[in-house]
Amino acid sequence: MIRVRSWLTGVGAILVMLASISGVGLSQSEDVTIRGRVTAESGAPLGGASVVLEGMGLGAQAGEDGRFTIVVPASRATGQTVTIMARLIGYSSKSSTITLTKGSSITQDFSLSSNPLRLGEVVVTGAGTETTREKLANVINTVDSSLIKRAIEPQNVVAALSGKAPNVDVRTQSGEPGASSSIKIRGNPSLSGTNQPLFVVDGQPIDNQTISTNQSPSAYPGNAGVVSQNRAADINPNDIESIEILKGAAAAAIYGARAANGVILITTKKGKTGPTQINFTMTAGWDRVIKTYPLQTKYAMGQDGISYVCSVVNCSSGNAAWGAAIAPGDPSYNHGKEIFKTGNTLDNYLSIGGANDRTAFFLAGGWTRQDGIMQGPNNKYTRTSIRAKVNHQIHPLLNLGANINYIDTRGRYVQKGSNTSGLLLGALRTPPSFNNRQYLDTISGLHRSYRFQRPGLGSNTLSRLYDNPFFVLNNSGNKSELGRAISNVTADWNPLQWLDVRYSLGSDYYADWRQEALPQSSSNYPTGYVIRTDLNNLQIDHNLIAVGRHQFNDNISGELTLGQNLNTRRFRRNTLDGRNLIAPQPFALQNTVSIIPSEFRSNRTIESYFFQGDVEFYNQLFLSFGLRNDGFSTFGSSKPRHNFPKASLAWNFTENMASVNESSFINFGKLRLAYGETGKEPENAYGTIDAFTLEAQLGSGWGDFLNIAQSGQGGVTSSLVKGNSNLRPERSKELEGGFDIAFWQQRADLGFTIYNKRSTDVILTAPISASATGALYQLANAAEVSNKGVELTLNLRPITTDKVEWNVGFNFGQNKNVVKSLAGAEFITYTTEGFNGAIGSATVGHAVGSLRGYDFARCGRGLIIGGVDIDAGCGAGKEGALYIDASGAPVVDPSERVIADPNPKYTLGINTSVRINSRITFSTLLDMRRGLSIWNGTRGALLRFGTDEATLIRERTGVTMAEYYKDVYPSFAGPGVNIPYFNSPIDWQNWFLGQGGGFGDVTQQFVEKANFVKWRELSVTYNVPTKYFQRLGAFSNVDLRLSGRNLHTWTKYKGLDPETNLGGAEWLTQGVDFFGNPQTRSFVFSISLTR
Amino acid sequence: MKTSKLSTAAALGLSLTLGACMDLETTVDPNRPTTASPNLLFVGVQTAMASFYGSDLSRLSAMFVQQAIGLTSQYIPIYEYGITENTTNGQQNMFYIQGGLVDVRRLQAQVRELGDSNYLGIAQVQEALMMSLEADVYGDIVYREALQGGNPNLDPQMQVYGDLQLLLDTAISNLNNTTAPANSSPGAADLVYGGDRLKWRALAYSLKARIYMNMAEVNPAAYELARVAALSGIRDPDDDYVSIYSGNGGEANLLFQFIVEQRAGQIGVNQFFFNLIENHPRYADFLEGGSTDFTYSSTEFAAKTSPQPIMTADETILISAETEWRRNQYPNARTFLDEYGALHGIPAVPAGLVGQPLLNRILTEKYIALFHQIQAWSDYKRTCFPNLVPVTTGMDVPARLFYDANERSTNPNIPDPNSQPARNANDPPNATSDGNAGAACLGQ
Repeated sequence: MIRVRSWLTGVGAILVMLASISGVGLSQSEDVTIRGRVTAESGAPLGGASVVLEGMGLGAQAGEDGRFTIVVPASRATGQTVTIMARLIGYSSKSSTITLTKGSSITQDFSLSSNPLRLGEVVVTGAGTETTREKLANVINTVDSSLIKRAIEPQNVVAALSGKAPNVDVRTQSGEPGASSSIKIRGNPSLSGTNQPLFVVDGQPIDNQTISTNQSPSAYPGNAGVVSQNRAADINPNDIESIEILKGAAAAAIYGARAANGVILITTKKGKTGPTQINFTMTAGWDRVIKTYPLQTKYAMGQDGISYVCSVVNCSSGNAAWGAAIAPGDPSYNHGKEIFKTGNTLDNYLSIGGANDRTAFFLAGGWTRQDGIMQGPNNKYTRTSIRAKVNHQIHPLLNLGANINYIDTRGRYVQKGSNTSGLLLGALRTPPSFNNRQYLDTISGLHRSYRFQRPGLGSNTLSRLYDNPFFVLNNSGNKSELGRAISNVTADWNPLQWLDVRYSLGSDYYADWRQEALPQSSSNYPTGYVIRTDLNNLQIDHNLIAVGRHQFNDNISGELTLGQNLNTRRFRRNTLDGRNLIAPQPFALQNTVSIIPSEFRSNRTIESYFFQGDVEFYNQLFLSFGLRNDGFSTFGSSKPRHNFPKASLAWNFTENMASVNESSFINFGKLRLAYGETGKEPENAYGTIDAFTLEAQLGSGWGDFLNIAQSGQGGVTSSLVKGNSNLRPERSKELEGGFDIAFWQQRADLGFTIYNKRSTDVILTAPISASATGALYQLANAAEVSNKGVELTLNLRPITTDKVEWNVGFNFGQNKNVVKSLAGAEFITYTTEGFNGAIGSATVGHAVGSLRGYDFARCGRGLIIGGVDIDAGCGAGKEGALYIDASGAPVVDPSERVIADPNPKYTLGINTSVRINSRITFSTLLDMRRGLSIWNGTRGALLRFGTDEATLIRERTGVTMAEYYKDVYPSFAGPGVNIPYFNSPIDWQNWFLGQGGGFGDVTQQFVEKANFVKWRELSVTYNVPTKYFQRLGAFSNVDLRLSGRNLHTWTKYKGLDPETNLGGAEWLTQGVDFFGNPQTRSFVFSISLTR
Repeated sequence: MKTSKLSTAAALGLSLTLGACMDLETTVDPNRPTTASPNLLFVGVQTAMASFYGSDLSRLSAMFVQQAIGLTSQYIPIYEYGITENTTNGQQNMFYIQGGLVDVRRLQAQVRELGDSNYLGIAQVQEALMMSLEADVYGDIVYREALQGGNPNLDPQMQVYGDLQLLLDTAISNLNNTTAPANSSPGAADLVYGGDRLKWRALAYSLKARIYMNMAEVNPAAYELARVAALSGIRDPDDDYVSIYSGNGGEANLLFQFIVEQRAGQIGVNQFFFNLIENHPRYADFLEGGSTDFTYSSTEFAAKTSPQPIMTADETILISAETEWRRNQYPNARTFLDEYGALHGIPAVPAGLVGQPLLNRILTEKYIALFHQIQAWSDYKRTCFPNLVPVTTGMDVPARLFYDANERSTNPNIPDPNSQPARNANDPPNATSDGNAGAACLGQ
C-alpha cells in the first residue's frame, strides 16, 4: 500500500511540476508565428512529425492533431527567406520556403506522402559512417522507438527485438526479473562464444556479456546458480531512438574482426529542434506465469504403491510419488502453482530535450522496478539510469558533443536450474502428498523437505537431498549491484567544404558486485557457502574518421572515408569462494571456514585502419567498397594483421523509368548485390600462449573435485588447452543479393534477400588426443561453418484514409546452419552446456548447438547390440522404427548421436496496427518460429519421480511400448511389438525409474518439436483529446496505453515454454529445458504526458 | 584555410602516433604461470593421483563388485551395467593430462636433468601407479607412443604391465642410489611420505606385486613374482600410500564430497556388502548404522578428512597370503592371514583351514579390506570372487570400461565402442569362482 501511495505521490509531483512550467513562454507581438498542420495524403494528422526552419535551429513537433506552432523571435526575423521542412519516419519529407517578416503570422500546412521503403532517410552504417536508405546495397533492419515502446519490455532491449526482423532469433531465458535474453542474427557462424552480435551505442561499443556469479568449473556456469543479465539490458529502452541491425558481412565489415555475428547499432534520443519538450511516462505492469507445469495430484510419496511414512528423525529414504492414491479428504498440493504470485513492474521515465541552432540537449532519467512472479521477497530487479546528451557548435566549423549515461542496477535472485537447491527442481519433484509450505520443522525449526521430512536438532548441516522450494524462496543470499557509466565525447569538424572530420572517444565501464550464497542445510552444499564475485569491465574506444566528398560532374559524385579505430578492453573477475558457514548468518566471507580466491584478468587491444569509398552514378547506381585492416592482440604473433574487404552495388532501376512515379503500380525498385568479409577474434585473450594452470579442478563430472594445491602445498599442472601462436581471426565471407520494391500506389513494399555466408578458419577448441599430446584441446583455426538463407519483408497499408489507417507487416526469415568440417573430428561437445546425454555440440552435418545424446535402438541403423542384430529383428522396410525386443521393451543404443537441433528453420513475425480517427491505435505482433527441437529434461525427470501429470498413465494396464511411445517414435518393429509391457502400476513405475525416465540413458525420448507462435504484443493507445486535460493546460499531448505481452502461446511443447533455455544467453547451446523458471504474461498500463 | 589543413594533418598524425603506441603482441598471460619447479609439478601429480584412485572409477568399481549400489538418478543405470563411452566423463583421458603422464614425465625430465636419482625414482613410481590403473580398467592403452603427437597405437595390456615392471625396477634402483650428485626429495610437498625414499621403495614393491597379481590369470607364474615382490612391499599400515585431505574446500575426501556434498543419496552401501561385514571386526572401519540404516562411516571412512587408500599394507600382506596359497603353502598363507588379522582385531584362523575354504577366507578378507578400491574389481575379474549375481539378468558384471569418446574421436587407433572387447587381455572369463569349491562363476 505504501508503495502505491508513494508512486502516486510521485506522479502528482510531476504533474504539478509540468503544470507550473506551463506559465513560461509568452510571445511578443514582433515575433513571427508560423502555424500549420502536418497530415498524410489521406488527410490523417501526423502527430510527432517534426517541422524545422532549416539553418535556424528552430522548429516544433506536431501534436497528435498534426498541428504545430513555431515562433521566430523578432530579433531573428529580418525578412529573410528560409526553408521550412516537415519530416516523419515512414513519410517523404517535404519542404517549402517562407519569408520571415517581423510580426507576421504565417500558415504553412504540409501533406506528406508515405515513403514505403523509407527512402531518403539517413541510416547509420557504423564506425561513424552513414548513408541514405535508397543507396544501401545490403539489408539493415531498423527498429524505431515506437516499436520498442510498444514491446513494453522495460527490462531488456534485446528481448524487445523479438519478432521485429527476419532471421533475428531472440530468446528470453525466463520471466524472472533480471533474466538474460540471447540474440542471434542469421544463425551461428562460429563455434565459440555465444554468437551474439556486437552492440554499439552512439558509436561506442558496449559490453553484452552474460556472466554467472559462480564461475567455478565444477559449478558448470549457467547450469545452476541464479539468472545473470546480458549487460545490454542496462540500456534503458526508453532512451532509444532507433536500432539498426547490421546483418550481413558487407554491412558489418566496417567493424572487421568483431562483426562476424552482426552488429546492433543503437542510437539514443537527442534533443529535437524546437521548444524544450518534456515527457513523463509511467508504466505499470502486472506479470503472471504463463503456464505452470502439469503435475499429478493423486498419488502420494512412496514406492510400489505403498506410501512412504517418515517415522524417525532425519529419515531420508523416499524420493518419488509412486505410492498409494491419496485418500479422499487427505490434503493434496499442486507444487507447480503454489510458488508463484502476480509480479509487478513499475517504470517511470522523465525526459527533457530541445535544440536551437547551436545547441541540442537531452536529459533523461528512468527508474524501473520489477517485483517478480515468485513468492517471497527475493526476486526483484531495479534499474535506475540517467542520460545527458548535449551537442554544441562552438565554432561554425566545429561541433562538440558529449553523451553520458550512468546506470545502477540491483537485483535479488532465486536459485534455479540443475541444482538440488534450485526452485523448480525441488518443487516439481515433490509428491503432492507433502506440504511444502510448511518448510520449517515445527520442533527443530530447521529446513524440511519431502526427502528429509523430520530434521532433528543438530541436522542444520545435513543435506535435505532436494531443497524445499519455500526454503529456496526465502534464501536472501543471491544479489547483484552494478554501477555502469557509458560515455563518449565527440567532435565534428568541417575544415573544408568537402571535408568532414569526426572524432569520438568513449568508454564503457562497469563494476558489478555479486553474491551467491547457500544457507546451511542447502542440498547443494549443506554446510553453506558464500561466493563473492566482482566483475570489472572497461572498454575504451577511439574512433577517428575523415570523410571527403567530391562531385565529379552532374552525374557522378563520390565520397571517401578514412578511419582509425583504437580499442582496449580490460576485464577482471575476482571471486572469493567461502565454504562452510560458521554461524547460520550472515552471508559474509568472514563467516566461512575456508575461502578460495580466484582472479581472472584479460586485456585486449585493437589497432585498426579502414577506408570506404562510395560512388554514385546518375543518381541510380551506388557503388561502395571498403577495407578494414585489423591488428588485435588476440591474434598470433606470426601474423598480427588481417584485412576485411567489402564491396556492394545498388541499382535503383526505376529511377529513370518514365512510367514509374508515385501513383503507378510500381513506385520504386532497387536491385542490390553485396559481398563482405567479417571476422571474429579468438574468444580467449591468451589462446596464443602455452602455460601451466593453477586452477585445475581434478575429479569427476559429478561435482567432486580437488584443487591442485593441497594442505598448503602449492602445485601446478598442464593446461587442458594447448596454446597456438598461429591463431588468426575467424573469417566469414558473405554474398548477399536481393531487391526492394514499392508498389500498389505505395501501399505495399517488399524486400527480398538471399545470402550465403561461409565461415572459414573458425576457431575450434579442437579436441586433440590426450594420449598423444597430454592436453584435451588446442585452439585452432580449423573448422568451417555455413549459413544460407532468405529473408522477406512485406509491408502493406491496405487502408489509408483520414479516419482509418491499417498497416500489416510480415517478416520471414529462413536460415540453414551447417557445420561443414571440424578439422577431421566428427563433433565437439560444449562440455559445460547441458548434460551427459543432452549436451550441446557442433557436429559435422548439423547446426551449431545441436544436442547430442542417446536413443533406443532403431531399425535401419545397422546396430548390433549385445550380439543381437537389430535390423534382422526388425524385418525389412522398417527404417526408423523403434525396435522392441522379445520382452516387449526397447533396447538402449549405446552410440551417441545428434538428438535435437534447437535452431529454428523459419522465423516469421507478423505485426499489424490500426489507427482510428488518429486517436486510437491498436497494434499487435505475432512471433512464430518453426523447425526447432528442445530436449525436455524436466519432463524426463518428473516422469521418473512420478509427479508429472503424464504418470497418471500408471492406472492403465495391458499397454504396449508401441502404444506408450506412439507420439515419440514414428513406427515400431521387432519381436515384441505386440507384447503388453505395462500390466500394473509397478511396471510403469519401474520403467520410469529405469530407461523410461529422465535418469535413464535414453534422452532422445524427451526431445520434442518446439514450434511455436507467440502472441507477443497487443496494445491499444488512446491519444486523449486536448479538451479533457485543458484544465491541466500544461500538456500538449497525453497518451494512454493498455497493452499485453505474451498473451498466448500456441505450441505443442509439453514443457513450460518453448523459448526456455537452462543457460540463457550465457550458453551458445539453446534448447535445454531442465527446471528453468517459467516465462511470464504481462498486462501493462502506461500514461505518457508531453509538454 | 591553410591552418585548417595543418591542424588536420596534425590531428591525423597524433592519432597515428597513438596507434603506434599500442602493443599488440601478447606474450604474458596474467592468469597462468609459464614455468614450474619439480615440487609444483609433484604436488599436481600427487593430487591428480588422489583423483584417479578416489573419484569416479572407485565408485564405479565399488558398484560393479556390489560393495556399493546406485540408488537414484544416473547411478541406477550405471549400477545396472548401462555403460557407454561417456559414463565416466573423461576419466580415461585424465591419465595423460593435468597431473597425469604429461606432468609426471615433465617432472622426471627436470629431476633427471638435475641428476636427482631419488626424486626421479619417486616420479617413476608415480608413473607406474597411474598407468597400471589405466591398464587395469581399460586393458590395452597408449603407453609406449604416448605424448609424442600423431596417432599413437594402443599397446597390449600385458606388454604395458611388463613395461611398468621394468619401470618399477628402474625406479627401485634409482631410489637405492644414494650417491647420485643431486639427490633430494619433494620433502614436505609430499603429503603422504614426506619424500622418504624407503617408503616410496616399499610402495614400488607393493605395486609390482599388485601388477603381477593382475597378470596372473593368464600367466600363473606371476603369482610367484608377486609373492617375492610383496615381501619387500608395504608391511606397516603407517606406511600406506593414501591420499591426504585437509578438509578445506577443494581439499576433502572425494567420496565424502560425492555422498554428502554433491550427490547425496545417489549411491549407498550395498546390502550384499553389509551382509558380509555386519558381524566383522572391520565393520566400524567402513560403515556405521544398523541393518536398516547402514551407511558409509561418517567418522572413519568417508569423513571430510578421511584418507583414501591407494596402496596399503593390508593389500600387500593379503597378496602374500594368497600367493602362498597359490603355491600350496597353506601354513604360510595362514600366517600371513593372521598377520593381517592381528592388525584389525580379527581372530586367528583355525590351524586346519586349507584348500578352497582357506582361499575363500583370504579372498573374503581382501574383498573387505579393499572396500571402494579399484583393485577389488581387478581381483574379482581375476578370481570371480565373491561369486556375484549380476544385478541385470542376462548380463555379465562389467569387466572393463570404454575408452573416452574424446580419445576415440581424435585418435583413429582407438576402436569404436561396438568394436571394443568386453574383457581385457588379462581377464578371460572364469568358469568357476575361486574359493567356492568349483562353483560355476555367475557374473563372467
